[in-house]
Amino acid sequence: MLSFKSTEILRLGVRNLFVHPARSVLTMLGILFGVMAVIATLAVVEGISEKMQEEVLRMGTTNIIVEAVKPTESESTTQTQQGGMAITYGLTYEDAERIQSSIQGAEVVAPARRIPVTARYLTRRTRAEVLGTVPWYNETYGINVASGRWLASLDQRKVDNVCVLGAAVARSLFPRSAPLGKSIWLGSFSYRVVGVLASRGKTATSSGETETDYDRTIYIPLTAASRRFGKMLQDQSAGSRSFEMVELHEITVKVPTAEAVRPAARIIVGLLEKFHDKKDWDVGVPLERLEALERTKWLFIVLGVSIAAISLLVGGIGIMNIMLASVTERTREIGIRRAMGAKRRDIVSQFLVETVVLSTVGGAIGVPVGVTLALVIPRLLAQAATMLGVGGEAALTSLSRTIVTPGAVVLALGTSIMVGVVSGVYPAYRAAQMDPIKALRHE
Amino acid sequence: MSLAQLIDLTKTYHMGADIIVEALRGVDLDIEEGEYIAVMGPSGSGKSTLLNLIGCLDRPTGGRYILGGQDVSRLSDAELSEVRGRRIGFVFQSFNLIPQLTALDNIEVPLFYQGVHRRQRRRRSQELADRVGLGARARHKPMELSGGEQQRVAIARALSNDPLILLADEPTGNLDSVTGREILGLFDDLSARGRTLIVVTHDEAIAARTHRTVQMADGKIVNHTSN
Ligand SMILES: Nc1ncnc2c1ncn2[C@@H]1O[C@H](COP(=O)(O)OP(=O)(O)OP(=O)(O)O)[C@@H](O)[C@H]1O
Ligand SMILES: [Mg+2]
Repeated sequence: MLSFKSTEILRLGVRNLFVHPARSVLTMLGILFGVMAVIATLAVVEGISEKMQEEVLRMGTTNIIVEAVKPTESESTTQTQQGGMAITYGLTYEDAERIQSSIQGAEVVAPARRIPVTARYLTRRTRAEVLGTVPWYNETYGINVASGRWLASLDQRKVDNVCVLGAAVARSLFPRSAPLGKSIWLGSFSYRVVGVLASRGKTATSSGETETDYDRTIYIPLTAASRRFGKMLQDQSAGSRSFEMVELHEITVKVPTAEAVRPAARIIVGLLEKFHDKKDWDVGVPLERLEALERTKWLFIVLGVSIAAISLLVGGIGIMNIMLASVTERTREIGIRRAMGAKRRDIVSQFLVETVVLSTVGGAIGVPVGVTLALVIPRLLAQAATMLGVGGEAALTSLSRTIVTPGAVVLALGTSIMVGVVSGVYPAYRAAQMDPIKALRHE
Repeated sequence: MSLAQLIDLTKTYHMGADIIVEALRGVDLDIEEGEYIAVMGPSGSGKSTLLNLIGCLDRPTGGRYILGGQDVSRLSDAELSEVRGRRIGFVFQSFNLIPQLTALDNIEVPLFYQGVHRRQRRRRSQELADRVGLGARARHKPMELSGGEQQRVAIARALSNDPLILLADEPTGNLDSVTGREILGLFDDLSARGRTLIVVTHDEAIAARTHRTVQMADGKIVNHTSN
């Protein structure tokens, strides 16, 4: 009986909305845009956060990344015979050994050196970064080999001149031929290519400021790196001749569980503080970044949803405004219905149904519109980026993807229905409180 | 026992702090089943107020009102609505049809709130439209109907719930005399079939067609005349 009456009231409400189609559509637009905004905003936030999360995950949540940091000038510069300046800083093999022996259960400690070079093959040249490291470095970072093999222990022991190429380096040097088995020049030494990596795309380092391109890296045995490139690195970017002396640029420590990360990081910091007289190191914990990211994501969600909520609020005010006008306009109808036996709650539901139908339909249309908007946002931004030029492109690449979650759709639809109820309550109450006799006399 | 009994009924309106309007000042009236009653009296004498009380649109300030054996003078708003929907039929001077609904839909409004099923409602409204002589005009909206046709729709609507009493407040007040007579002809018909009718009117000729005339003045019944 009740459900029968409900469907009747629903039918009545929908019919009444068709009496003023233009008015209904305009009122609905407010909600439509609100829902669209909610969905698009959440999709953007979700897209950015997922991308950043992936990057952090790529660094490994059970990894602790210790990096060499060039200390501020003057502290450690010494005059060299050549008249240039030499800076000694960074991590050492001793650090790696100390870490290995101090942290119980540290699965792998992977030291690495980074050396910027120009790689050559026949007449082709490309900028790359040589990363001298240990054979277990790939496990620590989950590096995938596309063809050939990764560095082996034997390479390390024999101080072999072998290398594994990042995907982009391989593409630049070997556009047509297969790189495996070929020899390339890194500085004044030739290295045999034993493997090529699968493409990984860009990623942020643990310090978060610079971007390292995994794909532009050439991996060689650490032993070979120390022997061939020495401790001395010539800083080519500086105008004056200055030299940097760095033993290790990076030490990655992998611990067995996420719980072990923080205690291990504390131990490492303690060790480095004790044995380094200057702050030429930085300990990065991807897990902490992940957690920070989660918090930032919520901040963005709250911010985005607040903006969307304001537009829904405006939509709700629009509905209420129209409904109040409609109630006044239909005072006489209300009187008639009351005289014909309509109870107060019949009048309430009649007007509530109208607002809820308006907001729900607005929301239901807003969802696909919002999803479509979310889908085209990356493309629009890409276009905007190319128009802006290089700088813009870099800034907007993190928006390369938007993700519409079912939760966002449910939230947007739920809110729109709620807006309908909330904005309808007061007009409906006003309608129901009218004195039937006065309403009947209303002009 | 009579169909409706009004015992010392009073209605007082409070306008602001100290202005009191005594619209009804003790009305006693018995309405028998099948009676056709005319209510007459000068403007402001309380005719509409009385009709609204009989129609349960309002509650009396004092006295008792028994309708069909039930004391309805102290019912809640929802209960009064229920009584109106089931036992009362209203016909107004200004027709009071809902503009966006067709004639048939207007006729069905009381049945809608009684929870009558759509198909049944449609059957009933069609039958009533025929009975009041609407014919093919029944699918039109009020704006497309003449005054007389609109009042026919209103009468059909008042009859849709098969009410105990049909109340009409100056039903021919907005109609020309020919159309008015047609509407009155409908009332005569209904009365002849045993319907209980109360009509407020200023027109002696209309009053003359009824069984009994109740004369009001200053919130009181001052005279009963059998016609
Ligand atoms: N809602 C109200 N508030 C205050 N006073 C009212 C109200 N309704 C009616 N009155 C007063 O009650 C008195 C009776 O009014 P009522 O409408 O019953 O007169 P009536 O006999 O129907 O007059 P008419 O022939 O002009 O329709 C009038 O003085 C009127 O001003
Ligand atoms: Mg009157």
